[in-house]
Amino acid sequence: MTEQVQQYRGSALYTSRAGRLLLGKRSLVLSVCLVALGEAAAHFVFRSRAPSASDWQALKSQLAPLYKSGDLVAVAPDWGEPLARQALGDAMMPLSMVARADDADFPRALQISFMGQRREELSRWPEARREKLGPFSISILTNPNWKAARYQFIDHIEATSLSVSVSRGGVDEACPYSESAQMSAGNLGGDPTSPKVRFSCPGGSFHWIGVTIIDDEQYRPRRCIWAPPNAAGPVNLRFRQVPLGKKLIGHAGAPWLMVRDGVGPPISLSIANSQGKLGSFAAKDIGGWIRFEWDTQVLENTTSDLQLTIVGTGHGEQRFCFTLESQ
Amino acid sequence: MTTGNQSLAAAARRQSKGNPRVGASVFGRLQEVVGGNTLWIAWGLALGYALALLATSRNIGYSRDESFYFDAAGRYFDWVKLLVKNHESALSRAMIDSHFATNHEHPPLMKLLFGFSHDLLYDQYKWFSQPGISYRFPAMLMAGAGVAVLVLWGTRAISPAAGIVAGLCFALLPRVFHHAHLACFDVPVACMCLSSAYLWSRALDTGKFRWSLALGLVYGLTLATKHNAWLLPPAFFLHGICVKSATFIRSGWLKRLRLLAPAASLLVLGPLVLFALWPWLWFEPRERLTYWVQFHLKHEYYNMEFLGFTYWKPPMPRSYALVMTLATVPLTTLILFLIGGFCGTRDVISSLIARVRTHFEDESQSKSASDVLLWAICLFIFYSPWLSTDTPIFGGTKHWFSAYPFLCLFAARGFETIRQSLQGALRGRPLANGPWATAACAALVLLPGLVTVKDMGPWGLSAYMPIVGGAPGAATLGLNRTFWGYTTISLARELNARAPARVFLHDMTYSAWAMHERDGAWKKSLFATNSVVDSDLALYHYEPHMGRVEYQTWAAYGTSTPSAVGTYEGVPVIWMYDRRGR
Repeated sequence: MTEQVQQYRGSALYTSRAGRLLLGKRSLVLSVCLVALGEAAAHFVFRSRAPSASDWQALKSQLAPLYKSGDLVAVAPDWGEPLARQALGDAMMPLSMVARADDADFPRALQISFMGQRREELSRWPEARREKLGPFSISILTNPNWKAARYQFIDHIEATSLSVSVSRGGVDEACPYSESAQMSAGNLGGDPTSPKVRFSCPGGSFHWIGVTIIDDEQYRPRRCIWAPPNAAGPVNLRFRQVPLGKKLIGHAGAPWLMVRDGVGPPISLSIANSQGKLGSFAAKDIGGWIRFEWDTQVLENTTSDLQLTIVGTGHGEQRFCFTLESQ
Repeated sequence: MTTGNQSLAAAARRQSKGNPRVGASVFGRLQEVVGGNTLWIAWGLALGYALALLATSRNIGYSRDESFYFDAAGRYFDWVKLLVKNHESALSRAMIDSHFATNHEHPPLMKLLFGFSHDLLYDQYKWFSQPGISYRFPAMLMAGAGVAVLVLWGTRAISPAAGIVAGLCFALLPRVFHHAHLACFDVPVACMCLSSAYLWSRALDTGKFRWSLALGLVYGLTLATKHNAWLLPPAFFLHGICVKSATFIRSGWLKRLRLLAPAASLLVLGPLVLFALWPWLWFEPRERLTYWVQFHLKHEYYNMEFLGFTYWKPPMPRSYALVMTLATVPLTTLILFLIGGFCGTRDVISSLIARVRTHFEDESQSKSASDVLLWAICLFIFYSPWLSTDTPIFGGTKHWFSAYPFLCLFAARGFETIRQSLQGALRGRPLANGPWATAACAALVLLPGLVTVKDMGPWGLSAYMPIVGGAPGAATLGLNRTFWGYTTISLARELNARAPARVFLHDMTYSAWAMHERDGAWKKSLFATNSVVDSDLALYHYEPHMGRVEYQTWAAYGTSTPSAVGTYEGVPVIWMYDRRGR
């Protein structure tokens, strides 16, 4: 041991040549000490950098004068959103807004920013007003391309507006409607929650039509009409008396965690009225949450019964969810 | 050890004689005390660390993996009790298989210790009021032992002060501190790998048979702790070839055999100890060993968020281990590591040059560089799996914990350079050579780890260092916020306030919930369920790919408003929904 210690003492370490080579004795010591002190101090700075629980709770009353019903409430950075939802509640952050299909559906956004962050997807929305509320910066942003929807299909998943059937060998088999169906949810690897209000189609399990929430390719929530293809045949959704405008705008996808390996063949969604086909769209597993558009300009300002048809490959294991609105 | 430490103290006394003004006699006395009692200091720190872990364990929730090990520990130790009562029955294949089939993808040592601790310290002697903590206790002791070995090795290779810094640097690594509480294998195997490396160094250095024997035994225990141990033989053999090949070639047969003794012990005694400790291998050993190896070489991929992207299949990001080390290890420790690495490299190069000049006759320099080389090889080998883009990243930082003791030894070496430089810079000034400058310097470099560990409480996996902006910065960067569903305990008050209720356990096992229940964390009127639609309360542990479970809750409850949110540094980690709107 003695010998070894002496050997160490003769090494570069003990003569501090290495230290001198690195920075010079004093500056090396000073640098390390400053880094240590700075790092410890930075810990205390960063731990209180984000808004506190009381800041969030105070936000609701502060935000109330700025909020208008129908606003998109966005939080930047997005990890603050659960705290915003807790503080603002369903009144200011309703589920339909939180799990929206698209930011473009909102005329105005209230952006709650902290730590100097901004929502990238809202960066092109002109800022109408900005206020500082405690640690938050509140921006009122205006959607430059907003068009009001004439009809949201997702708001009409009930028996008076919609009937659902599966075409089995050319014969339509109705999917019965219920407002008190048994709910189920598949947990991490399974299907989304089946609602009480739904149409139940042949095939059981996840073969129902109703409103649910899926995860998109960035694991964000998307509230949509669940309408998986059926092994028995094409699934038909007939919406009655839909007011039409210049176009129909939709989004479609499937629960990302279930389909992200991208092994499933495309699913076709087509739309027709009594005079014929108006458009179609093919969704692929790996496409994620995709926007699509159908031109209905020739039918603008008319109302029409519309039939949406969903067709898969026939093995009946595919998932599909979509939204559609008439503008 | 004593001789070496006494020599250090003597050196200190000599130093003090040349500089009587600066309180050097105090320094000398302290060095004498420290140097002469390294073992006491090492084991004192070990005990202190284990007690600190014990004192802070109650707030740290039980993780998924712990719950599997609780169950396995109970089964394994039941078999031990059966062995004592009726060894003929216990040794039958049916009995061994029925007890050891559970969790047979991991070797049994820690689970046996968890079971033993629970049986002795909870069931029999009631030393612990909480059964879960009694399972965890052996892992805490193991972490303490790791600190002790670091102190001993750092003292032997560098200096007593550096040894203490090595031990405390490791103890205060925030992620290590968190995992050291758990009834898991990651910190224990890191400490066992360190112990094996220390014994390899001693066995190779001294050539004494007793060190080789200890190496074989400890390596066997390391194998019986976790499969990280597989990486050690290549590391040791590479090190042995680098430092002893010239001696081997020049020596006679007797000395050659002595040089080979550590390797032989490693390869023969190690597996024998594993085999003796793991009854599961006593039947169909080839098939079961093959399964064990294949399970880990072809491990399935779980989801892990890294820089805003959730990885679930190869290619995994090659920068993962590097970035996560940077984000979770104090920057000060990393800078000391770099300084230590620089000095160590110089030592190794100097040694090599000296040996070439003396035609490999002079081994004195190589001895001083040998440990440095061993640390570097071990550090590299425990990080090396993440050079492959096929290696899963789901375990966060814990899977390369075995590299951290060596990182800390380098950091201690860097600290010694700083300490020496400081004394040089302060020469001639009051207190310059006293222990106070060293102590202040050590306290300063340990401060970032200490303040993080003190503040992070039950949120260990959410803690990030200031270099990424702490937890808020890490969340903004999209670094993993939590996994293993262990933070439910932080919402215990909110859960109990809403009893009676059926609680949907997201990402948490029934077994972990039940262990908290046995600890008295929940009211008896809270019932766990894995069906969100049948629940009144739903928990959600944030991970991006698990968001879909939260959305299932929204759809089932008709709201996206949480009733309680558990945060660390203002960042939401776990939250809860109440169907009844409370």
